[in-house]
Amino acid sequence: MTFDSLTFAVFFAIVFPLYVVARSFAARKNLLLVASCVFYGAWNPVFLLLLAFTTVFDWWAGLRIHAAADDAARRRWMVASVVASLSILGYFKYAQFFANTAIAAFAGFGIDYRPLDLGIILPLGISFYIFESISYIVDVYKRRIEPTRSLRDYGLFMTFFPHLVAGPIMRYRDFGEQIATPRVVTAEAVALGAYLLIAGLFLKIVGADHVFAPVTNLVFAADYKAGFVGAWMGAFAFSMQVFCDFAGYSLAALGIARMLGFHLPANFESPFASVGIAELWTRWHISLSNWLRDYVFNPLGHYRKGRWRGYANVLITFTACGFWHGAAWHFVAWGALHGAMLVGERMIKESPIGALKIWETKFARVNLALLTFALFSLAVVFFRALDLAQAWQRVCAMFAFVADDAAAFVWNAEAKIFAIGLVVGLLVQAGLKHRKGWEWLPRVHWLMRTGLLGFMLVAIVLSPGRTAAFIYFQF
Amino acid sequence: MTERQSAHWWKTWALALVLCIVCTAAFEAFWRSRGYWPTVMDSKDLWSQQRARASKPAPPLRVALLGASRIQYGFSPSVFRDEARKIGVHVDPIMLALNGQYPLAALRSLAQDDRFRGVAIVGIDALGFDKIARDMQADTVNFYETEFTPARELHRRLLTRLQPHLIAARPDFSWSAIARGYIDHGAPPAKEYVTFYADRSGATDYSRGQAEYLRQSRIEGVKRHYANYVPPPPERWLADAREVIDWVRAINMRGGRVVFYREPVSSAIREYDERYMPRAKYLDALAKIAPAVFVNFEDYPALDIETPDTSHIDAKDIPRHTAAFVRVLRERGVL
Repeated sequence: MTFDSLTFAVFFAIVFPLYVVARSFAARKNLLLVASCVFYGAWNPVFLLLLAFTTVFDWWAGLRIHAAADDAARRRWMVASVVASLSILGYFKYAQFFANTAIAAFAGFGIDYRPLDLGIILPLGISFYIFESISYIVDVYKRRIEPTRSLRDYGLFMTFFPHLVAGPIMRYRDFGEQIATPRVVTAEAVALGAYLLIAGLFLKIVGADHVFAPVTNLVFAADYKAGFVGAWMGAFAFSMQVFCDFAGYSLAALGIARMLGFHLPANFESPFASVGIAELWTRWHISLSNWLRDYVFNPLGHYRKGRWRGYANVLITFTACGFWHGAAWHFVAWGALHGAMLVGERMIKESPIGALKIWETKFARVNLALLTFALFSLAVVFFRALDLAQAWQRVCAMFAFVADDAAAFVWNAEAKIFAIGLVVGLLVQAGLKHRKGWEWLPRVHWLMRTGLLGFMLVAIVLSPGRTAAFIYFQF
Repeated sequence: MTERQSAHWWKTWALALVLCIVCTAAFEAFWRSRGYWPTVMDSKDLWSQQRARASKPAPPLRVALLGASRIQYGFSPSVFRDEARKIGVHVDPIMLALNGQYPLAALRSLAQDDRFRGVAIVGIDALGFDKIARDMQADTVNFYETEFTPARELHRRLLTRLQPHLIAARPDFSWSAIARGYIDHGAPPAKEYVTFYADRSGATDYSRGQAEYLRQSRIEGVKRHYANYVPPPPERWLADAREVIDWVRAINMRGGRVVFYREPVSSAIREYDERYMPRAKYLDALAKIAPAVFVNFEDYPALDIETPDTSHIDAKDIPRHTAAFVRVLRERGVL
């Protein structure tokens, strides 16, 4: 079930009033757990069993870790749980990739096998909930948190429908506190939450699907040979599309959670206003970058073991980040490219050039922000391309190595709408850069707030038909 | 938050909703005053919703109507049901035809589905059996098999209830589609002469459109097509069709039936079909070896109905065409 469907509208129209009138917090939690299972099962009921297995096993493993008499036993339970989680993820997400890679490798040695179709369906949201369960187990093992004795509470942490299929990736430390104390549903929270829900749907339906997707789909079509302008426009369009798509989903999730009295962490904070790739990753998919920092980069040793080891750790972490996104080499390349850009940025900052602090002037910051967006867009080609070959063709075109029969980019209505959307999108992010969270929204003059809400509602109503699946649902 | 701010939230939402309702009403009034109307819009979800019904057990007897636009705009499932009932057969006609796409991928899907035990009516001509046309509907079939979920089904059911009442629910009237029309062509959306229904059937009302223009366009289109297309020789065509015969056998083995129906066409389409893929060497040759029923409109005067654009019958003739076809099925022992 997606937030932008009529199914969800009906679902929430039933769940929300029941939640409000429920007598006790326990009843509310029971309701949310059942509703979350319905929400997930509406996609494919069979995979509820997989989610249930992961949930029950990790909850039990958490208790075992806590109860273990010695460190070796604690470690055994932790390893067992993490291996089980990664095995599930590995089978459903990566088995086909490894099979194809092995077949291609054998072919390189002249051993010819037929392509293998394992017919594995990727369970919705598996990358997100597996990461949440790993963080829970590791945090219990590291004694950062105490495991919950309530299977219902742990189940709700795992399945809470606003964040279940595409994050934000929650930590039990944050969520556990919220399910330990009764949530209060206030009119203000409902009004603000609904406002964020509409803003999220606006980003997704109007921004991603109607403004940016048409240019992306044109430039990244399998038979389109991009020229210099087309390749850049396609890359810019997809950068904005994936932002509107994912930030829209995350914002809607935040809004829905807030209506229910819960707080989810912000997942995007004006990433395209960032100066440098390092800053961008503190503003883009924040819950994932925090997770990677805490459960991959820091355990690898951070920069504590020397500069070069630190660079290697960054590269490993971001290559893993790419692999988390998708089981294909172009995703790996995307992650590795981000790792390389982060290392490059750090090397510049540590060099004599860095001592000049050129980015401290406003003029330089504006230009560096645009450069950061361009670099992000260059890398995102690997994310969006159908395969490495297509990505390489687009990247070559971006550096003016253009095929003779490349298509000229046509400035038709779709391109003009995209160009306006791009400028507006970047300006809005620049304007919102220093605002954290959404607590400032109630302080905006109510007439301005009303006008913006009315505009978003009208635009959503007048944007039927093109709705595509949320991009991050495939991960 | 202060009480004053709380009051403002109430005003914010109330005014924004009023604004939204007023703008939507104005949008509806504007386009209706210009002769546009709301209609159900076809989609992969709607197709999948119908396709799921084909796998349900009998009774009633599931009758899958496969084909392209000639079936989609040529048969009325409700008339089909009523006519069958008159002859004592309880059927559930399911419209699975897809505009502009030959249907063999859908037939393959039914053949591979052990739960389908009904009758497949396949609207097709000789060109449609060619291998190059075989996967035209594969994308939609694949969507049904891998992406259609209970959530999508409910969404589509609700949308189908909404679309007959709101122009704003038509994708071709989204703000971006309208902007594209005006910026690129300086024109509003084209006036459709096809009306869709919730059962996925459509009706082409040529009194609304420019029949002569459409007729000339189709004649030019078929000339262009045959100028660039070399039909396979009959022997190869028949050899390729053996795969289809296997699908027919699979359906027959489960107690189902398959009917291949060449729908009414006229003028240049009829001439070119016969010139490039003569009936005797192609369709009739296949009929001799395939364990299916073949119905050709040329053999049944009641099915040889006028096609104003050379390829599709007019909306007013759909009940007559459907009723005549049900009678033919009865004659041939299918119903």
